[in-house]
Amino acid sequence: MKQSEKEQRVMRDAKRLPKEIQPEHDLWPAIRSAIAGTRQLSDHDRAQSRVVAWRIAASVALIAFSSLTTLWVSRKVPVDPVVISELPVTLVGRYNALESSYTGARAQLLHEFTVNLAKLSPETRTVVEKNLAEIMQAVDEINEVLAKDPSNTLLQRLLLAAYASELEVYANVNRISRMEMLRTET
Amino acid sequence: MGQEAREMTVDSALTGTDDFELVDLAREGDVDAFEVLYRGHIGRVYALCLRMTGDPSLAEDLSQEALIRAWEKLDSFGKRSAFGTWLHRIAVNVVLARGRKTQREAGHLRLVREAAADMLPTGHGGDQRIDLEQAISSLPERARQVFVLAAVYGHSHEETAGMLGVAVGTCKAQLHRARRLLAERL
Repeated sequence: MKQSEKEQRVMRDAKRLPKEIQPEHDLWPAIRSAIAGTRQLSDHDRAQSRVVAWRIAASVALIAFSSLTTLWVSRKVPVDPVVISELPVTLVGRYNALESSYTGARAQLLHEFTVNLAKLSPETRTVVEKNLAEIMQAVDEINEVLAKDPSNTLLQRLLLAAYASELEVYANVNRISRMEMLRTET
Repeated sequence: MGQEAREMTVDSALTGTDDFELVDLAREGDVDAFEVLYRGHIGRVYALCLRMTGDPSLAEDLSQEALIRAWEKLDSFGKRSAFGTWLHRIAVNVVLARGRKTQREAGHLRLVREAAADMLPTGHGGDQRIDLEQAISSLPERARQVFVLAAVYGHSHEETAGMLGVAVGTCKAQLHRARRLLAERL
């Protein structure tokens, strides 16, 4: 056979070689351990996000319960719509501007809240403080996961909801105190 | 673990999902989706690495590295080509990067090995496909890389030259050299 014919056969045979060959060892376990905790949200982080989500949901439920409890314990004021409840919707579209909005609103409410909290009955104060502690813990956990996955929109929304919940507690306490003050004055 | 047994570990809900959907899931951090991509493509990646290096152990390392790099670069996958094509390019780059490192570390050994390969005796009996694989693995490094990409995987001279970072003329000359050496040895 001529050299050129041999070369043509080599080229023909090369095209027919199998395109897939399985490695002797399964490489997946090593790959999996290498990619865990890199670049994207790992399984652990996703699990943590779910825990955070549940905590927030629980906090929000507690706050609703707390508001009712607070009002029930006070038994002295009607349940009016709370102005601060508009905050979640307002904040959701403004994640980037959140820090200043949140900080400003919080500072405004917190001073009055601290004074008013002291005026509440021990039972009511315990419920409010417990709810706030739950919310702040959830905020810390969300921020921790967000630091690893800053573009996670679910966590951003949860953070906004948590901030709004915190502000709502302050606002409710302040509102109840003001109405109670008005009631006693009249 | 056999291939069949390995596939049993893949999340059955994801089996049959197309590559683009799996990529979307993996981008969100779904490691199980990435495992399905791994199972579907590792045979091709390993075959490429094995033929370009001629070293089964090194080919496993490089396949692993290619998959890890793919995970890290998933955001840059624009879906303009098939996932397998994109992964193939990554694998080529990983092999070449390792080759450059090896060159820096032991350039003189490569020269000795290539000189020895050029002097290998010709003509073997037995299975023709195995002979061809063995003959390819014995080619000088650059000739082997050009032959694998152009003759086995069907890339054009321009594509092959682009991937290897050499001139088209160099690519043609290396393919001619590889073809001649293989024809002599088979």
